[in-house]
Order: sequence, then structure tokens, then C-alpha cells
Amino acid sequence: MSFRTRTILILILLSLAPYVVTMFILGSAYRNDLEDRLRSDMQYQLGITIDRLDQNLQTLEQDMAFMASLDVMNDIVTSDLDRRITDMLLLKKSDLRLAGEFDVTNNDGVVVASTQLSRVGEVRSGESFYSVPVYSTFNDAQIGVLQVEYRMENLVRLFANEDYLQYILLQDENLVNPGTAMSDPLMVVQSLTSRPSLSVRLEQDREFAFSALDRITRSFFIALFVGMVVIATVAFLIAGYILHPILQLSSTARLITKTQDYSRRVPVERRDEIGELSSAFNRMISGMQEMIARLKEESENRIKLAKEKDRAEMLQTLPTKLSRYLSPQIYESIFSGEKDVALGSSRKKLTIFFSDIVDFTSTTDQMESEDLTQLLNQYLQEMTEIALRYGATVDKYIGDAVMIFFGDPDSAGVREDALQCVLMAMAMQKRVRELQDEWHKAGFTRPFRIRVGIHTGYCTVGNFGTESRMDYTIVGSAVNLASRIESSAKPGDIYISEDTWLLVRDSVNCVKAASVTPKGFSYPVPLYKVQLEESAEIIRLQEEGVDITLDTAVLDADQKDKIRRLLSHLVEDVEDQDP
Amino acid sequence: MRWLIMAALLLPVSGNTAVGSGYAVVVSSESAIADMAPDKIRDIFLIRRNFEGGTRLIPVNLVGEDEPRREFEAAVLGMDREAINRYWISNHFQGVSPPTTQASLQSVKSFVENVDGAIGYVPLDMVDGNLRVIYEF
Repeated sequence: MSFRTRTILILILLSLAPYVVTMFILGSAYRNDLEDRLRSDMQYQLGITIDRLDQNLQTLEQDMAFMASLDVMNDIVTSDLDRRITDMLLLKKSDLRLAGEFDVTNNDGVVVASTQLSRVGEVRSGESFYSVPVYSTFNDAQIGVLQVEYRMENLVRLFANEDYLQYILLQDENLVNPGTAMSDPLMVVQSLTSRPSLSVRLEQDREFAFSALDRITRSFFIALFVGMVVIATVAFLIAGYILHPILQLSSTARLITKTQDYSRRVPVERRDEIGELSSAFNRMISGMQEMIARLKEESENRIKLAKEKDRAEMLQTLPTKLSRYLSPQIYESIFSGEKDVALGSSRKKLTIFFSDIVDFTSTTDQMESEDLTQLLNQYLQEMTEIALRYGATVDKYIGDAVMIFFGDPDSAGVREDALQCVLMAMAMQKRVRELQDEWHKAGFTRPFRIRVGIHTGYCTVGNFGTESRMDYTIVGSAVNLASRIESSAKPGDIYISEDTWLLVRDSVNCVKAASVTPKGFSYPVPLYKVQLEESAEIIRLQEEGVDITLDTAVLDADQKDKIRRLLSHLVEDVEDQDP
Repeated sequence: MRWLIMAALLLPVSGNTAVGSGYAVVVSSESAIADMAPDKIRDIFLIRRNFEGGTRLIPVNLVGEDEPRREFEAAVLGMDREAINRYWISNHFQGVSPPTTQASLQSVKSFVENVDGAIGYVPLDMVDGNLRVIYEF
């Protein structure tokens, strides 16, 4: 049960208590009291009525006594010949509006005078209600009796009966006048003082008697209902008034828990205890906010510290790791601070080397990937070692292909770079041949040969890419040409461009190969093939002033003819010059 | 003419008077009361005398002023109505009331017959064996 419901219930109960007590008093205590009061009122009213009846009877009695004392009563002795007594009786009957008859009898009981004329002369029979002896006015002797035959209507007539209030005359406990039957009436009974055998019962309709009370009770019920509605409304409002800040508190607390937004505050609208609670809550949240901010700062610091530590550790291990991915020259120049790790480039004359494994794809299609990985890794490892030995910059591995250049970041001079490059290529070819023997022994039966292309030219060298990811590489048509040369090379051969050849021809034995027009080039490029082993057919004369290399193995008849003519020319020239 | 009218008016009165004469003061035939002189009767009817020979006397008058009361008052009491009224007014203050009355001669006769000591007056022709005349007027 919510606080609001409970408050409403308590307020209703509290407010109902007086109603309930009032209803209880009205319902039982007051009802009983009212009944007593009603009875006493009725008793009083009945007393008045009884008095009236008594008075009425007394009046009758007195009137009769008075009549009996009158002179005219002397007429009894003359048997009321002149009907003076009768006249008087009639007059009195009419005066009293008496229901019943006066009779005057003489001492023999014979009716002398009567309001009922037919009775005169008869002996009177039946009880009389009152009888008064009549004495002679002149000798005090009783001469007769004045009697009245009294009918109870006389008394009943005096009752002021209403529908709800009825007087009933009882004679010796027998009903004289039956009233209209009332169910469960309030009753009081009293006997007449003058005639105890007569009593009057006053009945009052209970429903009528309590109708006023019932009306009040009904009004109370209506008031109770209205009151309940009003109280419930007021209670609801009061509960709302009391609860509003509390609900705000709880909803804010819930919201803070949910959103972790400690900047929220509860509005403080009142200056009472609940307002105090709200501001205390706000203070608590402020405290928490500060504390959380402090904790956050602290934890951030710790994280930063940990990160920095990690980074330091990483930085310590980074060079070792990086060294595997970067060529040592670049790595060293970066870590020695010679070069900034920044986007930027410069133009340099470099010697570029490309190699790839002939028919690698078709060869490897038939191999398991684990074997392939091992094979390739071993190959690349060996090649890289050779490259590094010659001071090369290993630019990248493209699958089975390797791109290497000389001249950046360290350069021993363009000529030397080119030479080193060619020598490196030769070493590689040599090593591959050796490896092939090993692999053959290990079960890889397919010939494993590489082709190499070398070119020397101007390139743009530097870091390319974006700030977040950059690559130290070289670009330019020279690179492209080197790649094309490599493509044109025969398996197991090293082809170099003319630019390179010019630089290395003094040191490396080369023969001219067929020119090719690489893709993307509009002119044929002369190529030279590096002689890996000195063949028997090669005649070489390299001295100051002369440089002759002849490979007879590759010469056709026309060339040989041309050489013969050239040589004879030369002989003549030399002989001519010698004095 | 006037005389004639007056005479006509007076005639019945005088005639009646002439016819009415012949009344008697009576008592019960069983009464012990003897004949009486008019003075005595006068005293009895003026309640100056109540007893006669040990018997209590009860005079009874006729109601009103009709005959024979007027005649009786004139002849026996010797008083006119005015004098009688004066008499009874003055006696009223001394506790003496006038005699009892009866409304008719018949009643007077019955009363006298039935009440001991009663004494009344009736026309002579009403006197029968139950009554005894003690005086005539």
C-alpha cells in the first residue's frame, strides 16, 4: 500500500470517527433516550387527557348533584306532572351534549322524569353510571334518585385522535373504542382518577415518532457520504502536497541511478521538514558528484599512468618489434631521430630492385598452406638477410615479390648503390639455386626460380599515406620501369636497365639483351642481362682506354661478321697509330 | 267609543274573576291539620309559621301569576304582587325563601295529596276524597 493510499485511509478514518460516534449515539443511545422522552411526553399528554375526562365526569357529577338539589326536584312527589324536571334534564343533556339519558326515579324506582320520555312510568332497569339521591327541599327526606345512563362516547369524543396518535378508552381492560391498528406502537396507559375501572391508552406510531430522528439520520448519512468524498479529496490533495517532494526525490534518485547524471537537483519548494529533506538530498548528491568527479579524475590519472607505463613498455619493445617490419636503415634513421615520422618526401636517385618467384601461383596451388608459409618465409628470410647484408632498404613484400631499393636513407653514392644492388641480386640468385637443391631434397620437386629486374632513376621517396597510417616508400616512373623490367626478365636471370648498366658495367659482367617496350612506355628500353657465371665464350678486356666484352655463345653469324670487321678495323687503326 | 273598547278589554277579566271564585285551601284528607282562619293560612304561606300540631307545614304555591294564585294572594294574603315581591326580597336576606311551587293545579293537588304537611289551594271543583278543604275563598 502506497503512502498516499495509507494517508488517505488514515485521514478518512480519523474524520469518520466523530461521524461514527454520532451515528452510534443517534442510532442506539439517543434512540432509547428519545423513546423515553416520547413516552414521558405521551404520559404527560395522556395525563392532560385523563384530567379532562376526570373533569368532564366531575362536571357531570356536579351538575347532577346540583340538579338533584334544585327545588324543581320536588316535582318527583307529584310524578313530575308538569315535566319541569324533564325540561331541566333535557336542557342539561343538550348543554352537556350528553350521549346517554338522565332518569329521575322516585323511591319506588319508577321513572318520574327522563330525557327518554318513553321510560316515564316504567320501573328503571339497568346500571346507572352515576346516581344522585334527591332530597326534598322541605323535609330532607329522600324522594328519589337522579341517575344517568352514560355512554362512553362522551369520553371518546374528548380524544384528539390523529393518524399517528390515538387514545383508546379501556373499561375493565376491555377496548371501548377500537383504534386503527398500529404495528408496534409506543404505548402509555393511565386510569381515570375518578373512575379507576376506566383507563385510557395512548398509542403513538413508532415510525412517526422516530421519523424526525430517521430524517436526521438520513441527513447524517448524506452528510457522511458528502463528507467522505470531501475528506477523500482533501486527503488526496494533502497526501499529494506532502508526497510531491518525496516523489520528486525518489524519481530524481531513480533518474540519477539510471543516467548517472549527478548534476540533477530536486527543487526545494518548501521551508518545512520535507524541504529540509530535499535540500539535504541535494547536498548529498552534490557531495557525491564532487566525490565521483574526484574519483573519475583519479582513475583517469591512473589509467593515464598505466597507459603511459604500457606505452613506455611498448616503446621499449617497439624498436625490436618494428625492426622486423622496417628495414633496419629506416628503422635506425627513425629511431636515431634522423628522420621525422611525418608525411613528406624528397626526390632522390635510387636503384630499385624487383624480384618474384616464377609461376609462384601455379606452384603453390599444389602445396599445403603450412608448407607454403614455411617455404615462403624461408625464402623471404634468406632474401632479406642477403638484402640487409648489402645495405638495401627492403621496401615491401608483395606476396612472393620483393621490392628493394638502394640510396635512401643511406647512400654510398649512386654508382656504389647500383653496384651493391646488382651484387645483391646476384647473391640472391645464387642462394635461390642453393635453396632449390635443399627444397628438392625436402620434397618440393617443382623448380623454384626467381627473376629480377633492376633500374636506377629518380624517385620520390618518403612517407606516403595519412597521419594515422603511413608508409615509407618510393614512387615514380623509375619504380614502374623496374617492375616492368622484372616482368620481362627470364626465370633465373637478372635484367638491368641501361641506366644501371652504365653504372655497374665496370664491375659486373653484363650482356645486352633484347630491348623491350614495357607496358605504359612508348619507347623501347634497352636491357642488359647480368652474367652470373663467367662463360668460356666471353672475352673480356677492360683496361684504361679499352673495354671489350665478347660473349661468343650468344653471338649469331651476322654479329660475328660485324665483330670480325670491327676488329680488323681496330687492328688497322692501332697499327696506324703506332709509329 | 273609547269607553266601549275599554269595556271590551276588561270584560273577559272581570268575567274570569267572576267565574274563578270558589277556590279552596286544601290539605291531604289524611292530614291532621284542621280548618284554619285566613290569618293563619297567610302566616303559613309567608313562612311565618312552620308547624301546626307537631306537623311541619309545607305550603305550595302555584307557579306564575295565574288564577287561583292571584286570587289567593289578594283574598288570603291580602297583598298585591309588588308587596309580595318586596316581602320576599327582604326575607331572602334573613334566610327565608318563599314556599315551594308547582306548575299546575293538578301538580298542586298531587303534591298536597302525597306530601305530609303540605297545604295548597285548588278550585273547589278539583276537591275530591283525597283532599280536605280547610278554607274557601
